Amino acid sequence: MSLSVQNLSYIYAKGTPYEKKALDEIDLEVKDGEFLGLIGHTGSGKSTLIQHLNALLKPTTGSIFFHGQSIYEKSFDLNQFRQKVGLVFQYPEHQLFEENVFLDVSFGPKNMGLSEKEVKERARYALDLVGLDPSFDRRSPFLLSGGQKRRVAIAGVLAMKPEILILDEPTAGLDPRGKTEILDQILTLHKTEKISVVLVSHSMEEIAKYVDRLVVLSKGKKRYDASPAEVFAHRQELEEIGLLVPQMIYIAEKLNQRGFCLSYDLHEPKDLAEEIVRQWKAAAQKERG
Amino acid sequence: MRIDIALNGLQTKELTFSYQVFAEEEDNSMQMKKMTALDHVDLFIEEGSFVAILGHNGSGKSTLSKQFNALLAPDSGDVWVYGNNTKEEGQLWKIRQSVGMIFQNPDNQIIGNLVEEDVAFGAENLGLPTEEIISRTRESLAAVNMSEYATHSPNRLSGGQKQRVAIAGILAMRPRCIIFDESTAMLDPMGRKEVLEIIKELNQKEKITVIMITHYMEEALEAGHILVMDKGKIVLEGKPEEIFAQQDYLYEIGLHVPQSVELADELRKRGMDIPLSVLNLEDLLKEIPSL
Repeated sequence: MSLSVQNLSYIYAKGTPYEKKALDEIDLEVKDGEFLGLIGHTGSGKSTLIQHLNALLKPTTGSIFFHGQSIYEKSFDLNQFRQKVGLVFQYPEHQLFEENVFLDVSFGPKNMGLSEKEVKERARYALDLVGLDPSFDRRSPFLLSGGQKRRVAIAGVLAMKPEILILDEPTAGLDPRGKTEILDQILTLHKTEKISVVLVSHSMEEIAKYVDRLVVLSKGKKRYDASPAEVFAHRQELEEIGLLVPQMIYIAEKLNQRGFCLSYDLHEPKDLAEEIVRQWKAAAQKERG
Repeated sequence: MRIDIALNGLQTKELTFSYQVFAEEEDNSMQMKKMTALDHVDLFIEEGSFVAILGHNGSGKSTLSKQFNALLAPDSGDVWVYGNNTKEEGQLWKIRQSVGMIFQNPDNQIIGNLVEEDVAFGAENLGLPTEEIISRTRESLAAVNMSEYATHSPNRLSGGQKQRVAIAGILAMRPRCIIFDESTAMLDPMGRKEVLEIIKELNQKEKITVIMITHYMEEALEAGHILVMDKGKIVLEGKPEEIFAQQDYLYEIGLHVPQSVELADELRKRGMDIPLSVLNLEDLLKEIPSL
């Protein structure tokens, strides 16, 4: 296990009338090489939690271990830790600042104190990973499309070669193609570079399609930690905490009440259609035969 | 040439607009360049309609919507808002009062310390008598189901609630049309549902013209009419069932169809009899036989 959160609580504005328990005894593991989803409605504690995963916030109680070592020990190298656990904020393109794409992506590795040659290699490596070829290098990041800007910002984090990549709503505000492109690219680098990914998203369809394991937060507590199919089987409970299930699972559930037997793993309309028609035809044949 | 100007809606004729951008030339020098954002757009949006505008990032949707309340003026061509040309400066107040806008980020649109103060702000600036401002604030909060939060601080509300407060602020100015520019993009699923419900109600009950820019294809199913933009032009126009029947073309220009439409299509291909008019999940469920 690479990153392990144990019994973590965080209280905002402790001792004031605005005191609020944002995280309540959270246990969570991000295992090597997994693609983890994190969902919860606004205010459920998602952002507070991922800020802890990157050591931007210190918990009120509880601990976090990285490769078995507590990250709150004095001897622990937080700088290096933050390179290993890369955090991509919401709307990361707002943090672009350099005059061209290549310089922007070089900023992180440069600050790591690497040689000029290494910095260049890292920047090229990261830009290749997000699918931006050298023709983009000298272009201003501010004149790119929304999806391209976001990929530059993600490359800036990848250039530090993280072991774990945390993305807070990487597709917000992008058009459908931009969304698919970004997520497909993240899936590819998850597979080829063996990077663990933590994806925070409001799109249940995205979550169902990409993640291996899904963690659900509500009011600062962990409510579910299981495969997407298992979590989405709790439609009513999810609705009560402000979440909806993916549309294909909604259809599957309703049809299962009417005699179908459909799995909650079928998140592509094509696959679900195939299964619906197969069962429908089989039933018709049975009736005839 | 004489142009008939409609008084009962929003109209554009040969609307063209470009941005000046600083871009690199082939010889690596930086030059100011013209980038066409709207290219001879002709359209008419009738009073009381619910129109969704779809298009990929950079297709011209937001630029178009900003022409409708004169935040931008055409380079050439014309925009008429209920018969008033947006080029005539004397009409600006009238135009902006009749067309309100709601943007993506609720936090950028809220200024009051209390919900009711925030909602009253626009109406106050119209110079209305105090009683009128109070009654409009009350009605507007009721219309977005936020009355019980009137004396709350806006910064403790959820995203969906904040957007509803922003909508109430616009309503208090009694606009004839509201433009929603990706107003649900930053919200969670429930927040999105809440805001969409309010948008539908405003159109149906208050008869307000709604123009909704969105990247969620599912949301566009709620509209009566859809405009699809690509490269500054309107490339498709029609009812949702007409638009989403053109799957291949939509994919080509970077868009999708709602998953419910995709599923209906896949079922049809496999021999199930699903009418083409079936677009949303609930209607589709009715068409699939029970076993």
